[in-house]
Amino acid sequence: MRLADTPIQKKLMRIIILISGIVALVICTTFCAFEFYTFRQNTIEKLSTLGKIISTNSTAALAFDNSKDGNEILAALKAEPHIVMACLYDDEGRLFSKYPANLNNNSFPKKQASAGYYFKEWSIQGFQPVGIGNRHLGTLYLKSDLGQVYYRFKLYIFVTLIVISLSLLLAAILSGILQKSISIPILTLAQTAKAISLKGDYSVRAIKLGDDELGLLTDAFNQMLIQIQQQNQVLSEFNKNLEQKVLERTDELEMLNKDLQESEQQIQTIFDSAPDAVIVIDMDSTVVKWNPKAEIFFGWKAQEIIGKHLYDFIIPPSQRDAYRTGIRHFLTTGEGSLLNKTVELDALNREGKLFNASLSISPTLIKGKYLFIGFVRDITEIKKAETELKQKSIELVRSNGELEQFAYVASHDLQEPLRMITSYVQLLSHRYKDKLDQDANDFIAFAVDGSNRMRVLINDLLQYSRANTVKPFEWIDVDKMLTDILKTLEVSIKESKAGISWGKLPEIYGDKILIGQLFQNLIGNSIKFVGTEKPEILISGKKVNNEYLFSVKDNGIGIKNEYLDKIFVIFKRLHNTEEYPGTGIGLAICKKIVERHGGTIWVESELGKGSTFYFTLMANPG
Amino acid sequence: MPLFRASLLKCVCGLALLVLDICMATAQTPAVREYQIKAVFLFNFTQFVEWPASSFPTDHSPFVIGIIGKDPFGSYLKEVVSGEKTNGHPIVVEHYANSTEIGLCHILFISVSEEKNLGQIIAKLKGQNVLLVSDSPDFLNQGGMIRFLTKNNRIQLQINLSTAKMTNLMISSKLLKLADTISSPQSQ
Repeated sequence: MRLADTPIQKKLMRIIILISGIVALVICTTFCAFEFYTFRQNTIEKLSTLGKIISTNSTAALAFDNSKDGNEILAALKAEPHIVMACLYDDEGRLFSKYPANLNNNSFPKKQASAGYYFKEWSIQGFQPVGIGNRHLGTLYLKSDLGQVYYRFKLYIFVTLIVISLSLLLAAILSGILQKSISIPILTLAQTAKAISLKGDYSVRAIKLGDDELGLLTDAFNQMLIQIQQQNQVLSEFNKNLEQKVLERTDELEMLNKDLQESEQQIQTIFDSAPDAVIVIDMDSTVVKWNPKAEIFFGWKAQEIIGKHLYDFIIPPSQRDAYRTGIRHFLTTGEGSLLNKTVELDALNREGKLFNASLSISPTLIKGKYLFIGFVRDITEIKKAETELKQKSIELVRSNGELEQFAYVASHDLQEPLRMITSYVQLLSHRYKDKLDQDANDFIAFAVDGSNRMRVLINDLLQYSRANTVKPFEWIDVDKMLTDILKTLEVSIKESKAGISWGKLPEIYGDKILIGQLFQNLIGNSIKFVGTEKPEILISGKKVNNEYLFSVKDNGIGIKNEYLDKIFVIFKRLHNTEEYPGTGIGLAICKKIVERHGGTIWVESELGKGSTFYFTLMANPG
Repeated sequence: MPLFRASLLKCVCGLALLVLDICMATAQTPAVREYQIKAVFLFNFTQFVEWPASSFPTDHSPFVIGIIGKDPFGSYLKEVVSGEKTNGHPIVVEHYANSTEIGLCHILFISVSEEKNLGQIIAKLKGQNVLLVSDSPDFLNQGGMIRFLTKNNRIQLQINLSTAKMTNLMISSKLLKLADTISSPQSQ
């Protein structure tokens, strides 16, 4: 079993035992080594002391050349069992005495090393000089075995082993007891964790056994469990929500599907009942859809034409190449001259007859492929009607022209006899005023008045007809033009005490005489149809988009709503001649002038409070 | 022989000495060799016997080894003691022809030639702190202190403790241990 896999209790015990073992070993080894070294030193010292005693005792033997005595002295070493060999040399280096006495001379070292003791060949040996005072007498050699040292050494090792064994035993017992304070909380925690992971029950809590780091760990673990529990709850709620959402979304999708089906149905209905032929083709011009109207227009049934090339059926042979080129052009450039607008062209029906058709083509991109939807209408009837209308319109223009010519000629030619009537009636009045009775005078007065009115009428009619003949347009300074008009109207302005004002006005482009008449008529009207107050007239004008918009505002009698459209009709009068004189042509002339300049004229009014006449003129009638 | 001077011995290595020694032993007569040893012994006595301070006039007075009668050591003794000191006293050798010439000395070697005058010489020095040494067979009986006795080709020492004790000389126990001690009652 690997150390990492060992249970924590064993691990802790092993660590403690190992550490205490190592500590004990180190201490004992150090102690042993120290003791051993000390003992060796002691042994050397002891040997040295012994040597000193012997050498002191053997001085006389050496001095007086008595080797027997020397032998006797050395023999005393018997008392020291570890001394295996000893000898004395005389001052000439010759072996003098020896111990043990029976040992061969050759066993003793021949050569004397320098003084001192040392370890050599599993023994302690050494030389020591023998002398008296400064006098050298000889040398002592001693050799001791290491029995003593080794005995001591063995003793140390034995004691060390016992000490280590005891400390290991003690460490084992103590660690067995003490490791519980660490391992039990961990094991408890581990068991809790295991139980939780097995059962998946996150409501379980680990029991805290103390406030140390393991206590903190337990707290953190419990905190974690709480968080997991909360997160689980959130997650399950989220899941529930998700399911709910999926259900809702499914419902929505079903609804959408239903809607889609309905709208498809609608589209199909539209497709089926459309007044136009609806034809759908793909990029290869293959017919995809063909509605009932198309069947009627072209005579081909849907099942006959779907899946076939369109141009083989309904496009006249003369236009097929142009059609193909157009499609190709669109597919490469995205542009097409026939797309998204209505064009008129000839189409071919089943009988091979050409007919007028209006066509609009809309390309639509579906799944990366273009489909072209074509709406085709049979416009044969419309074309016919159009032609008729054109002819009628030409006739109308011609008759209108004749009518205007007639009106001009009539009014012009009418002036001459009218002038004659007027002149002679006036002559009659002057000459026979006193000779005729009152009735005759009144009749003559009526006749003069009638001929005068007729003259005005004819003048107005002439003006109206003249409005048709337009002179070349020019730039008009409206401000100056209005000043001139005021001079013309000076008398009536003075009479009515009218106030006429205008702001800054744009220059306009048009027929100077006609525009002048337009303004004069409108201002004249405003002065004429005065109410209870003295007339105040405001003229304004500005450029709006491509037009000039002018307005002439007064505080006159105003116009009833029901008459707002009628006042521009020729000879339409709202009042009799006694109330407000006039021919009923003025506003008709205004309308004609405005229309000649590409504009419109209308009025806004409130009865009794005043009217505002608006008209527009094309900025650039071109 | 100059080669045997103690000072020289200290300087020459042991192996060389051993070789030379063998040569000398064959070259010299036993008598010469015997007296060379005796000369060294005389010198050694200075180390193993203690003289009272009163036997020296000053601290630097010489330690005198006197030889009375015919000198058997030749120049050898002088060579042995040359330059040596004992307790700060330089050791010198003096020769006396007869007992009348004996001056202040610490060791007196009585030559065999003065054997007939032994009694007279011993009597003269009786009570004085002089170590009396001789070869004479009857020396100790006559009141001498240390006798060289040649036996089995070895020189042994005989000490008459009684006479020695009559002086203030202190003979080392180590020396006594080596020697044959005779404790004869003073005959004179």
